Amino acid sequence: MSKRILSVFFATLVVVTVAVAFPREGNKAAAVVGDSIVTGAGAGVFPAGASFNTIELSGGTFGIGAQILSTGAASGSLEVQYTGNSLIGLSQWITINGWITSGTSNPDGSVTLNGTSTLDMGDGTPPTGGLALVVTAGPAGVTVSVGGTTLPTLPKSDGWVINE
Amino acid sequence: MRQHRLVKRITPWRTLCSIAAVVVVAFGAALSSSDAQGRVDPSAQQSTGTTLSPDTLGIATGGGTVKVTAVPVDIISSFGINGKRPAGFVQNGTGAAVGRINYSKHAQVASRHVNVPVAFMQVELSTNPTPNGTGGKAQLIGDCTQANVECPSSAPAFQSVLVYVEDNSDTGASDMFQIQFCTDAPSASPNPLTCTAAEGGNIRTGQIQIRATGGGGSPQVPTHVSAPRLRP
Repeated sequence: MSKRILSVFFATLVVVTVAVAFPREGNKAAAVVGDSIVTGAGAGVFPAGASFNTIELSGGTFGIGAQILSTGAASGSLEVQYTGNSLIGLSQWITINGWITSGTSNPDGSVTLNGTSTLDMGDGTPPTGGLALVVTAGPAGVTVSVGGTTLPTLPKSDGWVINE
Repeated sequence: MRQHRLVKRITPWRTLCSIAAVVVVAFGAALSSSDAQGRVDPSAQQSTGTTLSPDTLGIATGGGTVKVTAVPVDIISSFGINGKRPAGFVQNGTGAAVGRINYSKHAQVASRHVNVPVAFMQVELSTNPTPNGTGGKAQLIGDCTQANVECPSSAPAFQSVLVYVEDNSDTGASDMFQIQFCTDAPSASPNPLTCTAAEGGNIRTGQIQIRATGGGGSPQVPTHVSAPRLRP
């Protein structure tokens, strides 16, 4: 009789132990991914005097899609294309493609994204890859830094940058 | 006496078997709380979806430009997309998703803006992902019926936006972005007969990334192909 009671007690202990240990799987599932997503597409016009690598910048377009986790890790991509004129007056398009690896949401509603980028000066020279990328994007515009050099902020005059 | 010995031998085995059975039942009960309800753990290894599926776990991100065929001249459009499964996602075929679709034509033409939340998504993960772990296809369905959205105007009104993207390389080369506008209400499987012809195609600049889970991508990104010299 006492053996039976012990068996029942032991079995109950096993059930409780396993039941307490396993629901953690369910909790993980509810967390799913990311704390915020940043999406954007649009264009802007530079004020007079904006330049980069001797190219006088007139405007640009951008496209952004990135997801930021609460850990600061992020994934996604960014593309910015600047239009301008070279010193000899030729039209030149500068393209930056970014691979996002981390990011943070800022108090002012903008986001700062970090990653690796490729810079294509649009002058016929091969694109330069592996450049460190820092992007600040928000309702006011997009500021890009490649390889430690910060380009003038592209003011957003059309489109959206939405952090949600 | 012989019977007594037999009973003595059976009793411990019966106890052990009972305990084993209870352990099995307990494991089953505990597992069912996460598996039977179709809940998902994105950190776990997922089976690769080989066709577009409303149940496949994945995220789709992208930003870039695409050329839109137009008269008298082609138009360049910028896009930004995000799609992921919502918290507590249930794999029941409804394809629920969250995210956003931004699309802007860089020309003074009517209905050039799209800004809608993503309501549904279908994902297909590549069976041969890139070294950075991305690759596949996705279909994002945006909802034009929500407040504060921008969709092209038409009669009858467009109710949904259908975006199809392909991630075919780490460099963005041969990645694809297409967009259509549908009079059908948003659903995971929109009726193509209610949609306009697709705009876009292979992306001009930028990149699409489709992957199983979020998190930091590898920084080992190859040099991007030279951006096309196309002028708008």
